[in-house]
Amino acid sequence: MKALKPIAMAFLVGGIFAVIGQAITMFWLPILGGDSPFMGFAVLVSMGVIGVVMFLTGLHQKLAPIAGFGTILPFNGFCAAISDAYVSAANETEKSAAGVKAALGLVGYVLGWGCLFILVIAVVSFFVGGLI
Amino acid sequence: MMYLQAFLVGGLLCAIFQIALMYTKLGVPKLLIIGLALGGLATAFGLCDYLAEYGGAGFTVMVVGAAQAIFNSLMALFAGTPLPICIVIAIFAVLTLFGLFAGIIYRAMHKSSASTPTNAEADIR
Repeated sequence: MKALKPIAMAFLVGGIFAVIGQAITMFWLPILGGDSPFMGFAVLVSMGVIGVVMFLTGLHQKLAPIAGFGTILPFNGFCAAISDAYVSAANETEKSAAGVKAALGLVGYVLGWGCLFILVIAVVSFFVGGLI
Repeated sequence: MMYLQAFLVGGLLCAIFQIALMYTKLGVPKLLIIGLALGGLATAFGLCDYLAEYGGAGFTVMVVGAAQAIFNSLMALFAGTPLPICIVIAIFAVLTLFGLFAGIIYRAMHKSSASTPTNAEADIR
């Protein structure tokens, strides 16, 4: 039972962010049009703004230990995780340069490896798809 | 109905990652990398198109959904259309800057309360 609670909270909070994301999508849809290439940009940056607001108000810091991946997996969590890395490293060393380094390090690590894997998969499927 | 589907897909994704976090020793950054890689793989096999169609923003707003965007924009780049990959890079650049600015503002807001205890500690030592 004890293990069930964080999973249920991740489901609930993640679901709520998904609904917010859906609402944001519905907001941008009539403005940008259905097949605009900037749709993803508008939605994800809007989610980033939510992440910034949640981090500045301290809501993210309260929610993150309870909901775990429910706050990390949506894109507002991506922003908040960068802020988090900055603040903890900057407070630890009393230097903001160390915070910037830690934050960029986190982004580089996750996106670097993540994109490398996706690039390999994309190259393979491009050539395989081309052969078929 | 779309909102319910988004809730279910988004919630389930988060729950799956939460379970993986609790029962493996991988930690958050490695799980995010795995999520991106699996998202790319699932896109290559066409699974993500179904998920994105059913879950809408419940899928696209998640990190796994970003993998689909990265994958599709890479395929577009190979096919000779560089605009999508530029947009994806811009998204990550903007979000990183947002995150940094939020961190800097937050630290400036809480500077007095956050740094005083550590200073006091250093004085005692």
